[in-house]
Amino acid sequence: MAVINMWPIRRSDHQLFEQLMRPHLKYLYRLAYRLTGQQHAAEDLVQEVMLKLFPRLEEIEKIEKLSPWLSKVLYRVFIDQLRKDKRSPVDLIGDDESIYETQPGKEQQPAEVTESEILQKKIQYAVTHLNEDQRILIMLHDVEGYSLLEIQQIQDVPLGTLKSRLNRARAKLREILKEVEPYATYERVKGVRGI
Amino acid sequence: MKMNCSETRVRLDDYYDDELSVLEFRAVNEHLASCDECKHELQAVDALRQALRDMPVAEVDDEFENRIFGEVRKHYSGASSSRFAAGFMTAMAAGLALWFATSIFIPQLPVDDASQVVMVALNDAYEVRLKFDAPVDLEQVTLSIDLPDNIELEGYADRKELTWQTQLKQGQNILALPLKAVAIGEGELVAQLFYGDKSRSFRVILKTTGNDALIYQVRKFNSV
Repeated sequence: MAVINMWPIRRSDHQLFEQLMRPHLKYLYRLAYRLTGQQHAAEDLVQEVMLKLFPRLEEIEKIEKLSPWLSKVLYRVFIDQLRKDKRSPVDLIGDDESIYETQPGKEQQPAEVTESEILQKKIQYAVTHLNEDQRILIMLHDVEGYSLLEIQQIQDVPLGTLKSRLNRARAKLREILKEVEPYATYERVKGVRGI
Repeated sequence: MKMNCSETRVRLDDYYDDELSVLEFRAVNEHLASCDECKHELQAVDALRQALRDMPVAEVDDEFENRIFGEVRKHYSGASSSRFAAGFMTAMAAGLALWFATSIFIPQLPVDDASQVVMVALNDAYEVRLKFDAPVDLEQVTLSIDLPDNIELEGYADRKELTWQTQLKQGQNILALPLKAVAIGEGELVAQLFYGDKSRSFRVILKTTGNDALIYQVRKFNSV
């Protein structure tokens, strides 16, 4: 079966935009999910970023490394939304639960729950008790594996400041982890040293 | 450079991230080689980092990308929010394609003129494929496409008529037209093929109905 040659293909702006953005979409969603902690909020954030970026198609075409640039854009949109939400007197409640909302110890622990699952619950709980800057830093660096240099580009914060913030965030995280009673009990029973 | 336990422990995260200077790295290494307590602390760093990396991410569904780009198209294309546009777009996402068979230069072959109804939704493109059967290789064939007012060819929003020269291979030849509806209505897409003093044309009716059904219908061939 032969394909009839058409006139030279001329892509529409939408086709070009989708061609450029599609490879980054899931990666951006993942970052958005780490920042928001909620699936719908993450999808909405990616949507918002795409809506903001479409008019900047010409600029996007000239960018050599899109991933770090897109991460930065998404981060800024997220921070803008965060600031707006803080100013808003209304609490917006999503229809999906945040992964960070379950408090370890509030639910029955089935016998087959593994040590790593308990640790996972405990970490998810502890992360919510960091302040916003600390949580984002832990998410970017320790969860998603961004280097400090990459985070510096995303956040426009000096490297030294980032490093000391990260150290404080980790210290706070460990402090909260030690305070989570169910895991502390578990540790005592098992005779495992706290982390 | 020698380090005690407290000097080592404040550097364990950086050691884990490979962010120490060479001298510090060596000193921490030396200390760890002889201190089980600090070695245990390093294992705890590893366990915590592993658990952090294992934090789950809720998976998006298969329509996530289409949803995102669909909204962008809708937002930046006023006309594309019509029901007609809606039709074309989802159909392509669903991988549907209509095939209109023709038998140019072989009049005895039947023409596929069956009507088809395709249910479609908002914000996608639709690809109509025209199939031409040629008895032999043909050079210097002229193809022309006329589009109704409510239809655009993706990337050619400014053109309603397109004419170009091409060649056909013996057997089946496929012309894929990425179409996009830009207004509610009904119109005819006319494809014409010219070779020497012969020509063939066919028409595709494109329209929407009140319940979002998009109807494609091929009219009989007309010799010109």
